[in-house]
Amino acid sequence: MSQEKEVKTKGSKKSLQTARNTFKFIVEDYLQGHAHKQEGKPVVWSCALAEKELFYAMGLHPYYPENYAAVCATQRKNRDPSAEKEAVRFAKIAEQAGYSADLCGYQRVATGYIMNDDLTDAPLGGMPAPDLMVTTSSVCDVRLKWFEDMAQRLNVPLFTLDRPERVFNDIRRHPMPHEVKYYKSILEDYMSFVTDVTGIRYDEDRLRECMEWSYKTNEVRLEILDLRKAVPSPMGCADGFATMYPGMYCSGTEKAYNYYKELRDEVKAKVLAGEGIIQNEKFRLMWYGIPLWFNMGIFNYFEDIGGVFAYEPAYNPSPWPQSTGDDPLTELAIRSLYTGTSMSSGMSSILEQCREYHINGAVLAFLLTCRPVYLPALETKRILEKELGIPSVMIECDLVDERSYSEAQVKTRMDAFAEQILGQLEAKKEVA
Amino acid sequence: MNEIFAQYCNNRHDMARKWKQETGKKVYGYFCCMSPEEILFAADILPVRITGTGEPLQKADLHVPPNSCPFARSCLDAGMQGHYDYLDGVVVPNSCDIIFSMEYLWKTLVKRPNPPSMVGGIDLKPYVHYINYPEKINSRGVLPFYKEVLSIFKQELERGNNRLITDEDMSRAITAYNDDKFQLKRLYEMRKTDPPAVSGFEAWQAVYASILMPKDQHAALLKESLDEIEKTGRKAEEGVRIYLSGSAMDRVNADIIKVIEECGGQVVTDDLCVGTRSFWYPISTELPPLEAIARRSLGTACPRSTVKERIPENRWAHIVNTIKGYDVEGAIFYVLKCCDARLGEYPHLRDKIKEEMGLPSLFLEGDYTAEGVEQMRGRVEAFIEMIGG
Amino acid sequence: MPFYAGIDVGAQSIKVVVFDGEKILGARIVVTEDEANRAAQRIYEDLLGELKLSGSDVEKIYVTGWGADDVLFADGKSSEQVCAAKGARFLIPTARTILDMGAEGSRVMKLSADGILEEFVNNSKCASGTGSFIELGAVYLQVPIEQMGPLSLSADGSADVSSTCAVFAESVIISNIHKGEPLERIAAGIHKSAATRVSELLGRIGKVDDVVFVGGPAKNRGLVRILEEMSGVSFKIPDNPQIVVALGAALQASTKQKRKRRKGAT
Ligand code: SF4
Ligand code: SF4
Repeated sequence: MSQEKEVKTKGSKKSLQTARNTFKFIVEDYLQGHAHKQEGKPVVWSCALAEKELFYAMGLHPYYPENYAAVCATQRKNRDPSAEKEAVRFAKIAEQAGYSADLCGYQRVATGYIMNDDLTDAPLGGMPAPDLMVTTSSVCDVRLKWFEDMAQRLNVPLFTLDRPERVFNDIRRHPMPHEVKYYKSILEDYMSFVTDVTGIRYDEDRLRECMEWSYKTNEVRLEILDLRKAVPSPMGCADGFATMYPGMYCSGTEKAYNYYKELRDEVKAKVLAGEGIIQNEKFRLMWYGIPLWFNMGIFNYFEDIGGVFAYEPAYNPSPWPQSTGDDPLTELAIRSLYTGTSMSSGMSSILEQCREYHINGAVLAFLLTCRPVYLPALETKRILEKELGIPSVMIECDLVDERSYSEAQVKTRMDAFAEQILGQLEAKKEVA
Repeated sequence: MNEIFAQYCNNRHDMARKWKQETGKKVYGYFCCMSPEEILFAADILPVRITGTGEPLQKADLHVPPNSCPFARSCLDAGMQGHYDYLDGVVVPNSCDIIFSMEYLWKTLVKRPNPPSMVGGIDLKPYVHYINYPEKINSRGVLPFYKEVLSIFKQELERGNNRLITDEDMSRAITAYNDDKFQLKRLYEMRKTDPPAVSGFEAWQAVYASILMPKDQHAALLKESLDEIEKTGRKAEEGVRIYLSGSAMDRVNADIIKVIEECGGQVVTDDLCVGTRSFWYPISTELPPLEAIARRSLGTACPRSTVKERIPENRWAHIVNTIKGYDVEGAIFYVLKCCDARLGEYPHLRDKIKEEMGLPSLFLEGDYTAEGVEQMRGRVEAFIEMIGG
Repeated sequence: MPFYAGIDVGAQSIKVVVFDGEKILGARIVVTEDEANRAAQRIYEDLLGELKLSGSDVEKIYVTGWGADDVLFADGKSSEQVCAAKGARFLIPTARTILDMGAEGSRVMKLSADGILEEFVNNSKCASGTGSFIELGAVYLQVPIEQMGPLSLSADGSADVSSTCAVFAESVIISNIHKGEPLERIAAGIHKSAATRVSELLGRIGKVDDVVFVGGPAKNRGLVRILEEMSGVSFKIPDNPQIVVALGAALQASTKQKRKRRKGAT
């Protein structure tokens, strides 16, 4: 391997036009939100896995501190190259106030950001102050505690969408009646909460409309995923992560649907033309976990030796249950309860995906501060090896705080890993 | 305070095995104090809380990453090593992220005593029981939901053990549990004096024993000891009065209480799951038993739960309840690394305890080893000297 | 007049102060690898000899520091945090925040307006914010430790030695040497790295003026300057910053009584 190759933190090279346009999409979304706030309309702060339709149906403009932390991980104050990344600046403020450096990077960055007196002294002009906050109990404890803490610091009302944490195998995927009933009662409570705080009333038709957009969006996103199974890979992880924003954070809107339609057409054209991200694809990798937002360039690391990052399980949609024709809240409750967050469901689905995407190796982003990502990492490694003979390598780091990133270490590991995979492919060829 | 408590604290596995042999009954393990132990007790099963060893890991290190909660890792390691081979079942509630993952980890990695009986992809006699504990413990729809969760658990137990659990069984369990809670509360009451009647470490031993042995037996023994102490009027050492707040406090971590005492402090009350959180609030005897048990479990002041209030206050009410009347002079937070819920609420609690009660706090991040506890001695000493003059 | 002694047993050196209730009569700093009890006894007796005092003139001896428990002839023991606070406040009565940087650990203490210790923070187990980190750097750069400060001041910028972990920083120092970075720039980088850690401590406690800097590294001008720049404070540094903790112990010997109850929260 060439000695000069760098894993210096930098942005990624995206291969799709739509992906390159995403930052514009995000910036516009941020600006729209500021305008929305100026018109006196309410702004909500929330997080991934809260159902986004709930916001659009109630006329709230959502902001996501976690996504904002990721933005901060790529920006420096006044674009001054000698300044530390904004994420690091904010994380330090939080740590000084007693928030452990072991806590989720998103939480530290966002907490440091709100402890700054001036919310606009930050990338993209900051997030508009929230009128309310909504979090979910799904996936991790951090979101509960972090939002509770922000609610107290900013004195802004908080609502928690308490989604039962189900454990199921394929047979029991469909939620049980008491689970649906409970989650529906939570959704109803949410509606009255918003009405109480903002005066806006729940409009069933409006919600149904949003849900239709998100169903459609989900369908297109699933189509894209299907296209990504093609060899050579038409769309890799760099593009995958770059294009998650509209789906993760704006689902339920027409603009998100249009965005993915365009993306699908672009990917489809590439598949039809047999065009891959790189010219000579030799091996395909999976990226497990959330990316290192300050260093997206890592996805291009293996390209000159024929390696592509073809698939990432994070942020991707799963099929939704058939619409039942029930009232939209029941339908939404059932849909949400289909998401499996337990290790049991995680393990079986990752095996399936590695087969479908023809994966030869996995890079496990061992995110030091995100428990849902690091907890299953060793088991994932073990199972991939045992069930499919797929080797993997771990990269230790925080997701937004680059202080814990060691370039030299990552480089050594990645290079050794590439050799291992190339050796395996060589051996296979000889056998054949 | 009581020889039998000490035996349970130091030799828990032998004691449980002995009990099992003598009675011929079953023993189940559980994680976290919200677990509905009362239902197990009602089924004539001895519920024991699963804890770790604090020793270097032998097996779990290949499966659970090093930066995960060291307590939970050690629990799993003990399971994988066979320390818990006498358990007939294991209860995993949806508490923190790590315990939630035990549903998979324990099921996959710890050898079970009997083979599963699978029918149509479903295990009729599960070894690991998952309790879908809700996170918003006072929301409008939570009670019917959680009652259903518990009745599914009850059915699993009934199927697995071929016996019905009647309302009478459950009422009997509630009485036994309430008796024990009453004695424990009495024990804590006796620590309000200066010096307290019972030292922090002795009190911890009593609480720890209560989660490892049959509650009725524990209540009787504790009553005897407390009567005795009242009669003789004996007192513990005088010391700077400390409120101890922290993560899982088993035999390994509890040495911090000893260190505090050796440095001239005296733990008089706490916010611990092997402490006030496991017994403070009695179970209602007016309600149907399953509902009463559900309410007790939901009422656990677990740091990982949240509430419906718009500005949640990090369990402030529980903290006030457990500090009030104890003449506390300082708070020590002993939090295990990676314990996100506790780490996340710490800055806020520290500030609030300072503002509203005028108490200084000391923060210690634990690694769940005996050496780690020892390394904290210097800071504990300074903190206690700082308060004591 | 009664006399009092304070002994500070650090990881590398032992400091002894004899005090008459109002002023310091004499002090000694000895670097030693000898067993703590024996070494402390010897240094203490030497100092008494120099001051023409005998053991019976000294009413009480208090010991503090890393090896305090090993000193068997002391009458009492006090923590480093309390001693540093007392000593610094005695020398500089306006002190509200005290930074004590030692070989094996750094800590910051905050005092109330009337001088009561209210809060302290320690650096984590890691060595990167301590005096020994700079000493380690000196070993790699092969310059005497006293030269480290001046060397760093002469640099036109600093090499990147930043790291959250001392073990890690070591390898960064070495790779900088291999790359041929000028020594003064590496020295500056080492100071910057240590200062980052320490200024975090100052930030965590929310420093109040006057900020007093005690401990051996307080004599390192290079470190003081970069720390002042970084944390925006101007330090007050006592003449002999190394003996402040031992002085605090002597003060404790002269005043400490059995504990009085503070009013608890009810
Ligand atoms: S801990 Fe992980 S899942 Fe939870 S908020 Fe942080 S990054 Fe997201
Ligand atoms: S100590 Fe904390 S992280 Fe560990 S199991 Fe308990 S709640 Fe979870």
